[in-house]
Amino acid sequence: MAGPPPIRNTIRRLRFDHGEMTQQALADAIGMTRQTIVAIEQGKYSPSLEAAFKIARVFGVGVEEVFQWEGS
Amino acid sequence: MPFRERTAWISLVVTPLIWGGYFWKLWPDLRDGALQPGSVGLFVSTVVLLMIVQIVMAIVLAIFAGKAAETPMDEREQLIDLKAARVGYYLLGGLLFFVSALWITGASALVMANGILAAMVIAETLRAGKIVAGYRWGL
Repeated sequence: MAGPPPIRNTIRRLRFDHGEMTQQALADAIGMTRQTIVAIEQGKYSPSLEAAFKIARVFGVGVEEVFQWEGS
Repeated sequence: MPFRERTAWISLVVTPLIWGGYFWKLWPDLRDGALQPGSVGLFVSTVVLLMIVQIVMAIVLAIFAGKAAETPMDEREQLIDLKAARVGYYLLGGLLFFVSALWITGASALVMANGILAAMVIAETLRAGKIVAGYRWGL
């Protein structure tokens, strides 16, 4: 099984900054399951570009503010 | 636990259990290479039993899952499903190749047919297992 992708994300902090938005609320906003949001937050799953943009739009920020590449 | 993981758990447990019972009962016939009169309805009754168990469990799960049962698969769930299907079909292909090789050894039609059935059961069980693993431990 492949290791976790070298991508860090700030979804947890962004949720907190947006009135402590729940994982379920974010999931509903972008048409995903809560479990997928959990997997993304924990860095176990890298979302598609489309989903990444959707997440960024929910928080009103750019994609690069949500996801950061950590690999070399 | 996600609704679709629970569904996969049902397949993972029910499929080998019910088909295992079928092969256990059919084993003497397979060993002798001839179907006994009492075994004729075994296949049909096993299929009917499997359908009833899976439908009942799916209904019970859907009732308890509520809205989650109606939600379409998201991209991660689709990926888990696709990866599991790929593993299952690769295994099915390999096992069918093995079963077809039995023809050379002079295996009876009964053994061949049940060999194909066993290959499908094993592949489906592995597919369900891979789905569970995908939800539990990631892709």
